Amino acid sequence: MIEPPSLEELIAEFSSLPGIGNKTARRLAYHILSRPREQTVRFSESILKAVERVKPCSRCFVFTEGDICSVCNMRKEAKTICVVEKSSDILPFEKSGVFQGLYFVLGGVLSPLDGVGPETLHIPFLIERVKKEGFQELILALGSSPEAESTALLIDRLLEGTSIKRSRLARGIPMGSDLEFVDEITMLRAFEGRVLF
Amino acid sequence: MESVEFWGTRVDSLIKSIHITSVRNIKALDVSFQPGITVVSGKNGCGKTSLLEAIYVLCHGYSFRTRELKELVSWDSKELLVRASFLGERESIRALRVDSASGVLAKKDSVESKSASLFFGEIPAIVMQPCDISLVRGGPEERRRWMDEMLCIRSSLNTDILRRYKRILLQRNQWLKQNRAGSPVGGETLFSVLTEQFIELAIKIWQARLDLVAEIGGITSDYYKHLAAGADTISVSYRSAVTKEKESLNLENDFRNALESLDDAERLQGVTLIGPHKDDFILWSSGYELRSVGSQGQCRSAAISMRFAALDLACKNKCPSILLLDDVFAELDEYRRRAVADLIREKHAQVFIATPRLQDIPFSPDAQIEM
Repeated sequence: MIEPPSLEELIAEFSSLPGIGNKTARRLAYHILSRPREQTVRFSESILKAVERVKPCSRCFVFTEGDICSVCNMRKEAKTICVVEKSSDILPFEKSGVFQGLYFVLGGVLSPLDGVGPETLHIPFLIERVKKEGFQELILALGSSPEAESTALLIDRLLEGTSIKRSRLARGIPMGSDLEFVDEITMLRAFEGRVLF
Repeated sequence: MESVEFWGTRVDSLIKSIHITSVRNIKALDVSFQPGITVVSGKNGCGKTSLLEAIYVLCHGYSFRTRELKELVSWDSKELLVRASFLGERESIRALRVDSASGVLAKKDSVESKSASLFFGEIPAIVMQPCDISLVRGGPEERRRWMDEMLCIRSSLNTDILRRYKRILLQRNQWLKQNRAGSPVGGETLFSVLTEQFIELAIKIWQARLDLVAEIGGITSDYYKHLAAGADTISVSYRSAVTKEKESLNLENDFRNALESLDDAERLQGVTLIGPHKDDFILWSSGYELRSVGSQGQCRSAAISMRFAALDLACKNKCPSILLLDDVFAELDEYRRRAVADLIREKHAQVFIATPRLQDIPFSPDAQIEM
């Protein structure tokens, strides 16, 4: 391809992003070059600004600009903590407004294959915090992969013998969907997780 | 659904037509199919097996010749395209594009996916090939794959369980390896969690496989008897270090005990030593394993019986299905050739037979494609 080296570099950077293939990367790079210069400068500045300012909250690892995030700041009295895999997972909770407790972001799931252990995920810190601060309930809102299950089971096991209630989110049929179109695995999970009327 | 009477049996037509571009040695092919039995003939290397392979991939989402769909792309081309129209309750179009650079795009009517597994499940296709003899003669992994493929055809729940099992086994093995090197991730707590998950999934697989063997064992023996004209018989059983032939009353306890007794050995070797991934489906002939005592002909007949049994099971769940025979008749004696032909006629399947020699086919087919 007859593209200047700097453009090639930009395309390579774009294609290193998740969900972006070669073609999309090239389209984005050409689009960037066709926009007014100020717009692109603003764009790159905002990337730099975010990288410099945003860091994980020192208590729950949700992204924040301060030392402590707004949720930890506002809900100091909360007695429920919800464990999620990544920072963006808290958004659906906050949008729905159903949950008024605190969060804890693991930043991944346990995987010996990837060398990810409890320490990498701040699990010892979570357990210590939950025990010390007298939480009443810990909600596990992790995914359904085998590794996410291992992570949930390990956290549950580390809290065995305490009075802290452990729960996990229900799995099954999405709201508004027709039973006819539910696949077998979802149906099994929904069936296993059925609740008394 | 279109169907025809064929020697007194109704045969459904599932795949109506196919278009192929750049699949292995097929440059371009457009062909319509008839219901019933189609013979695909032509010289060696003209693309007969590739046509069967293309049909199989559209049914299962993977090939019976390779794990990598990219290998199907002709050497002188960058991408392949396969598109076919299937008849079921309604007409359905399936298309697959594999680009050697950008990967896979699968399409089933209006649904698109970057994984060909989109195709799996609805239309089971069973393939028989000369190398099937390794089902009997080869290592236990061949027979485990045969069992697990049937479990997957039965239910996507089994597919999910098998996938999870494989993953947890990998993680557990990795932990054991790290432990041997002195630095296990997550310590003993993680190991006991992984072992719990491993036990739960292993038991589910055993239950599914034992049910399967109970159902398919008799069918396999019956087919064998038919092919051998009653001259000899085989029996089958499931072999595992934990389960006995009949469902163990206390599978979980037995397994826990077995794992415990192997704990030192597992830690020493850095690998999981017991579980469904170590089991086997054994074919017995007069008290001996057919694998070691059987003649070439006996093993071949047993392999064909196993494929027919799989077809029966597939038809039972999702009738009808597609049977692909790749050069199977050439390997058989006159009697067995006729016996296989009789069995094919009994099936409610759309059948494709690839052969370089038309005279090997002991009957006249409904349709013929010359490649």
